[in-house]
Amino acid sequence: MNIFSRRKKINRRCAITALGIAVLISLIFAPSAVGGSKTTTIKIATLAPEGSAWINNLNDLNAEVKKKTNNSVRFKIYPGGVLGDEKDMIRKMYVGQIHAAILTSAGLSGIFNEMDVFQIPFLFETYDEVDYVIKKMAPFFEDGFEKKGYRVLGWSEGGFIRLMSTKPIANLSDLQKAKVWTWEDAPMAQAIFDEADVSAIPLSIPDVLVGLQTGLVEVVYAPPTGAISLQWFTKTKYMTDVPLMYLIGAVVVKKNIFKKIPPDHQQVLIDICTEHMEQLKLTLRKENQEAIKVMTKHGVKLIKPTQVQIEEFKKVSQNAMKNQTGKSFSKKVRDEVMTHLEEYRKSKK
Amino acid sequence: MATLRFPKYCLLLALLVILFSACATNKRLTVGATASLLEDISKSANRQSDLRLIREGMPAYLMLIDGMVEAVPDNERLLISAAQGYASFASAFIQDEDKDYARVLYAKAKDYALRALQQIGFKNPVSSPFDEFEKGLQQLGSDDVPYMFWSASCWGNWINLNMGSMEALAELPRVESMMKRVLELDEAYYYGGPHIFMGIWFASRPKVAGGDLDRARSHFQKAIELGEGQFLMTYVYYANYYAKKAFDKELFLTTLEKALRTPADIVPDLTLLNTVAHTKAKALQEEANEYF
Repeated sequence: MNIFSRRKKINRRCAITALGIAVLISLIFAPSAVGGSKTTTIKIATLAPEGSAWINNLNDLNAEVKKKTNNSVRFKIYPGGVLGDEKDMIRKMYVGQIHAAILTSAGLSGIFNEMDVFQIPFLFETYDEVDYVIKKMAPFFEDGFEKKGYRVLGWSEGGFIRLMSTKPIANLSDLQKAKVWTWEDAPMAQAIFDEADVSAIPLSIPDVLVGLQTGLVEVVYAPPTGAISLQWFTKTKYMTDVPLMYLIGAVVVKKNIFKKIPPDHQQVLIDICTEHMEQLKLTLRKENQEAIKVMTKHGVKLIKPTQVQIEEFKKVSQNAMKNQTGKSFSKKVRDEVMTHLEEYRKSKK
Repeated sequence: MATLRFPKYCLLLALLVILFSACATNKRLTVGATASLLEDISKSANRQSDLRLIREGMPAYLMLIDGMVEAVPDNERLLISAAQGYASFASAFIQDEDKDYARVLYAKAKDYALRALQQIGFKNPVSSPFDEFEKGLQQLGSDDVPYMFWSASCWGNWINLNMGSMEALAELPRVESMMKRVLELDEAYYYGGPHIFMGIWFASRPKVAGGDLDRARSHFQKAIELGEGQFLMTYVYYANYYAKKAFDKELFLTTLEKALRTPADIVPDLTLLNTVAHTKAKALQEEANEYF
């Protein structure tokens, strides 16, 4: 299949034509691409770069899938965003150029908008809370993806996002006085900042580093590992050491491809993916912890807000969320998440 | 100036004399001469086309360098030769076959390179705060280009094989800054080496992390221009990093073809590396149908 060799010629103007051609080609070649007869090759794309824990894990997973299905199912991995960002990946899954993707919150909400509930700031305080709620809610979310034509092969994460800044941010008024970045692909964050009376500046991720350098933005947010791989930590002298938001991730595959795999192999695939994603989650948590340590070694100072200051952040975010509910995620889903969360917190008391 | 004391290092010296008598006989083995001797050896090795000889001989050469650094620990030329030796061995012969071993070799190369940087007065290259690191780079000048270029190369290669480590990843911005400084000071250094590095950099970074295929292409093209098309590794990198990422099979194949059509000894001093480039180009050619 030479669809990809044409990629570089695709620019915005002819993207629509290209899309048409891609659909055509995928219709013509779909049976052979998926290998109807014997081998099913699942083309999977991700932003995670070669050499990262994600890709190492995916390679191991692939080896095990090949072995346990006698080579009848395998992945072909496109790492490092070679096929574009998460939006592009979803589009390419739609037209059948690829069959699967590893997506994070923005991408996942793009398919099933109830996923936006995870973008509520200060929702979770610990990983144990996250694990509890996801376990309870997974069947609901998986069903949602199913209805949109996707099968979730496993849940993972980017981890807890933290504020990083060129000047110390310990409380709400620090934040209101600063120029705060917001990811242009995640409109909900913008809405929350508006409600909180924070002047947010939307930029694409690649522009953030320059933005920090020139002073266009003073506050950014990312999981610690992300702050290292995107190099933001070289410009931010401070990190506010409170989990701001949980960045969820998942491996999704198009249902039509998944269904072409014989049922016994489907189960093998799900079992292996679940196991590997669980391992990956633990690795990523360790990496995020390690990342904070490494950043402090490179001169980043940790700011620890007091409990009162944290409560102040939470109050504003809760008010903001009230107005957001119903716009992307529903009240029902938010209430369910909150119920599970309170349940867990009570059991821990 | 420290000199090599004969009794302690007689074995080493004997080896040296036997192996490289042509170079060694007329030289007093003072520190400077030691480093210059190693440079001679590497120069003669660079004219070899017999890869097997070099591959099998290199461990002995590296052991020799280790011994010399042991004897003269504070000579920057010696240190940077040692770094270069380890990194070249890893990248030419080991990396494609045995990543774990390559990681060990690059770690040693990086260690030597950082020691060389400290010797030329660049303090705490790994542990200083990032803005001080950048200030430090501004204080280095044209004479320091070889140290910066080879240090950044060794360091970058080491990071490349340790991408799973947060510690290593956090050092990457330092490598990038150092190479950008080299680019400012002497873009033509080592057949446009700084441009090759930036080409690989922009091609291999994910787009969200600053990757930019157009900039990658122009750096590679500039490197080919500066190297006058005689440094064949540039073609190999151009094909492997840029053409692959751009999914441009035609460019991939024609670029490798160019490398293979150019005789390895077009510049005598490049015979070894160009022969390695031919080997890598052939291996990549065979991968083409699988990748595209």
